[in-house]
Amino acid sequence: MALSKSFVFHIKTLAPHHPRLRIPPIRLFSFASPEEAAAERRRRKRRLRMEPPLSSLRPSPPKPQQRIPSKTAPNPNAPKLPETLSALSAKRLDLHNRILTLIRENDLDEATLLVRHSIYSNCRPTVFTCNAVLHALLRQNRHADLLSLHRFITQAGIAPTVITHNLVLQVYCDARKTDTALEHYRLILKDSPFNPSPTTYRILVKGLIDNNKLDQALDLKDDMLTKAFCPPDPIVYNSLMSGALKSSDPHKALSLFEELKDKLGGGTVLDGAVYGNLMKAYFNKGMEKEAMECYNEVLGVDSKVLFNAVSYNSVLEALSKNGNFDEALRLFDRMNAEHDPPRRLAVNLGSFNVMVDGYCALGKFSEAIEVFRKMGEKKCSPDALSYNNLIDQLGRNQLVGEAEELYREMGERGINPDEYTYVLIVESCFGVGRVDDAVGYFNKMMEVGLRPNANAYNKVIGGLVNVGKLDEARESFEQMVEKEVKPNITSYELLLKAFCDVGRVADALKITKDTLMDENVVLSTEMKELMEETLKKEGREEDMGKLYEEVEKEKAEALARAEEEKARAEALAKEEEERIKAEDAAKAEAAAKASAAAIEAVLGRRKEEKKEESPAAGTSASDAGPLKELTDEIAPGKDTKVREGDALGQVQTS
Amino acid sequence: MATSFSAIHRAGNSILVFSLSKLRTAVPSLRPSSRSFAPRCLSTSAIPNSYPRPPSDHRVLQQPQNPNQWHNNPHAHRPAMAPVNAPPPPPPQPMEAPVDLAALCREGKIKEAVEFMSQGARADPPTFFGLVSGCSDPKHLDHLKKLHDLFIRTPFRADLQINNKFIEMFSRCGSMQDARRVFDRMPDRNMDSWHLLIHGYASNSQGDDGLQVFEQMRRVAIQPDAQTFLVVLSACASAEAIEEGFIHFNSMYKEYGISPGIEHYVGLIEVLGKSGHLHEAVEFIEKLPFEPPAVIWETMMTLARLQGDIDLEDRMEELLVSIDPSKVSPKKIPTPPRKRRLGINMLDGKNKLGEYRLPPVIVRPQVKEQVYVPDTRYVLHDIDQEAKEQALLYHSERLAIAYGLISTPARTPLRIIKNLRVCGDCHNAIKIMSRIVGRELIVRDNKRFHHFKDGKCSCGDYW
Repeated sequence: MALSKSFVFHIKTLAPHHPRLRIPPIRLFSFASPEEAAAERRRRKRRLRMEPPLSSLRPSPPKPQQRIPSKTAPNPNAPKLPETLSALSAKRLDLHNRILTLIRENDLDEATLLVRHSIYSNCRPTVFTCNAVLHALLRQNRHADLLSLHRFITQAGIAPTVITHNLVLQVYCDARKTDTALEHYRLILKDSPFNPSPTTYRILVKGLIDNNKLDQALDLKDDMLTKAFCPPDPIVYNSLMSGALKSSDPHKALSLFEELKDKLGGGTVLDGAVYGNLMKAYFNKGMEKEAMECYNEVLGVDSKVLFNAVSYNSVLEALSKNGNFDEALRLFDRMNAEHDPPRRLAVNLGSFNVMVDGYCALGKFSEAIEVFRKMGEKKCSPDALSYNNLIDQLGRNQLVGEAEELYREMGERGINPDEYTYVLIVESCFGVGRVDDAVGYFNKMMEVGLRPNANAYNKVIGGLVNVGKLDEARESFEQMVEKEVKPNITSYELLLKAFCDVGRVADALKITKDTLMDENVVLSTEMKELMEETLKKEGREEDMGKLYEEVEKEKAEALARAEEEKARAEALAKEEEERIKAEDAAKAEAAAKASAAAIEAVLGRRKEEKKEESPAAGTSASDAGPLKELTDEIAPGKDTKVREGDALGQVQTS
Repeated sequence: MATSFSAIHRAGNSILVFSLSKLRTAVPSLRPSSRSFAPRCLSTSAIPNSYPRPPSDHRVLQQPQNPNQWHNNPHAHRPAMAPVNAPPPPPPQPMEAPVDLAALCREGKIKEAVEFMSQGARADPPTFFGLVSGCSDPKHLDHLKKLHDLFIRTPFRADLQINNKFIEMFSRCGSMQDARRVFDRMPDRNMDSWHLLIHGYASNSQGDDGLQVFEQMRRVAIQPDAQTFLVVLSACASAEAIEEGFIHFNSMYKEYGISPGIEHYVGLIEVLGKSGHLHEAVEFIEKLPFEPPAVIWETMMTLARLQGDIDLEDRMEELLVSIDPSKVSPKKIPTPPRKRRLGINMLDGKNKLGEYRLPPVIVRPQVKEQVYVPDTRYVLHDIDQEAKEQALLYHSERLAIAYGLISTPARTPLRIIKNLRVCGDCHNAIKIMSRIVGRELIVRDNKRFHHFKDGKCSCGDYW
């Protein structure tokens, strides 16, 4: 009674002091104050722990709700709580530092191996050490190694922290396996003794948006908002807005912004991240006045909105892409003035890229290259993507010489060109008719071990078709199939059209057949008509029908063949099984044989002894009879051996 | 002050407590002034040494708590205080013993001192204080427990500072149960007692309990001060209670009018960082209303290092060095560059790589991994299959290897000696083990040596 009274008093004293609650009001129905709610969550978490909650020596009896869990036996299947940072001490800290050194020396194989080996030693690595290695593997894009290490430590019973989960989610998103990522996220919600962090949602939402899954991302955002532990996050909203803009739905982007504003309490959103996309949405809707008003407001003199490099870039892009390049230039100057590394980073790679873009759009290529060169002054080094950006612009404007020069410069600076770079160079070479160079670049890409996909191949095929080199085009098509890159419908259509145009009916028919045989693509009606027309010109209308029949037949055949293969495989498996059985049986037989021989040897010796005692031939024969029966009984199927022994006995007796 | 705390908190004992404290209040010099105990810091070294370890020091005599006051008491109560479990002691030399103990205490010979004391030697409060302060290592826990047993039989068992010292030392020795017991038995407490207890819970990764103590503290209407919030934040960090960390941090100014200092901000950053919310912590720093001093960057750098985020660690170090160039570490190895930027520096839509590249493959290792399949042919008892598999697991060489693995550092070879032949199933199992644990396992059976390494055995499976 006294306790509950003091409890009520406690609530009374607390309540007026929380004018602004961090927890959504829905929580308040069950808890008196946010503090109570948080405490309850914490207690729930502690129940998962094996040890009893508090020493039993406490003078005052604890609340009943805390007593109950301690009485029930702890669930052995309950997820383990991760170790706390204080576990990282003494030897385990030494191991951590040693592995960090290995990571800095970029010897990730050794670091991974050391973690694995340390798990079975007197110094188990902490989950923090494992996280460090996982993070380093992620930095180097070694996804397979990362997942295998993650699996290993999970099996070894090292409980993951929220950072471990974030790293794994990031891997799945990078590898464009968003479904697996979402699956993993659900697993965290279900099993983990702790909650996902805002970063978790940022990773997931960004991954979904990058993979054009806006709907799923929106669902995830709603899911996030129902969780009391996650405040509405401007960065998540920003990703969603960019997704909405990507699917050309500026209205959705605006409503998302309104929603964020509402959720944050109705005032100005103080994180600058969202404003670039907001302005873009206004521009897309043709509301230029609103866009510029917004710009002047958030970047005005007494604005309290915080901007970092990324949010500046977004605004910069919105300006330069929508015909306000002069304003963009002013903003760029302001950013440069604010830039004060390391404390304040207002400019980064992206800013230069946007400016390069802007100059190129105005056709001022020399200025573009000049800005590009200035990058070094601000301690930004261009990466493959920024080179690609400029090469793209130059190539499109037939400035192939400059583009190639940049490409060479990349090699000198130790920046590895990626697939995009090569495709851009190939495209620009085709653009000015340097077909051989284009093919050369493409082959070079294959040599350095990059993995172009069907789109990249299509560029080459298209280029070759345009200059009438059909055989070469065909060759690269075959090469694509060889490299196990699945051709898409464009690849087929390009070739088909080309063959039809020059009237090479046989080749065209073959391509059509290939198309029809490929289960991943559907031949469009236009293409069918084109084909039929070509055939008609040649007077071979019936060939199309034949082709369909043939395809049907072959498909059926392939199906039958698959069935047959399957049956054969099954038969093989059965055979193998039988063989193993037979082997086992033979082994058992051999063992039995050996034992029979041993028995026979003993019996034979006894027989001989007996014979020596009674040398009469008749008795020996009658003696042998029951003995033989006996051995037969012991080792059935061993007649031959026994008979041999028998014969030997007889020989000896005779 | 002390009276009111204890009276509210322990209603049952209040009369006794009251009378005791009354006695104390009667002698003003005896009242432990919490001012002199200014809760600046919680470590031994920083607590003003009202009981300096060498009792020969003259300052002792100038302390408000005159040791003689206590020193006389034992004589008065001697018959009642005779040690219970000690054998009838050689008549203790009251004047000699403290000198002796004090010397031992000075030399750090806690064990000997405790032995003397359990044989009946008596210590005065300063010596006691010194002895307790000496037990700062978990291996001294036994001595500390004995000391406490002795202490509660002394007439000065209610002494606030020694009790506080016990709480501190028990929590340093990692025994929060004992610390809690001391706390619960204390007749009166000051702020330090609460702080030490909460801090002890926090540093023994029992932040939950620490937070409960804080709840209790507020229930008995004690006004928390700035120091309280420091220890509460450290408890939040250890319990990974981010939400509560923020709630307490906010309530600090709003409810109690304490404006947060740098150390409170650092505490909150640790709450975030220790819970793995590194990016959120950095964002929090960015939004601080003042220019972050070096200590914040340093905290953040340490957290990033411990959590294994080398990029963040580098950035924090850069910031730290820009403020405080003396922090630059000469042995720093430059970080290897990222393989590919993950589009973080780029604008949306510019990262067209996906359009031309096949998605990165997550290759499952194609080679069939070695898998252990129990081979029950080697179990000759007539039991069912599962029992046979179970029986295989307890072959002595496996037990020996299992013990060897958990008791030796990684990658050291293990030598196992067995008096019987190794069975075929164990042979297979050890081959696989040697590959997974990356060690050489040398097993001698009664015929030969088997050197298992990288999944192979030197006997070539012929033995």
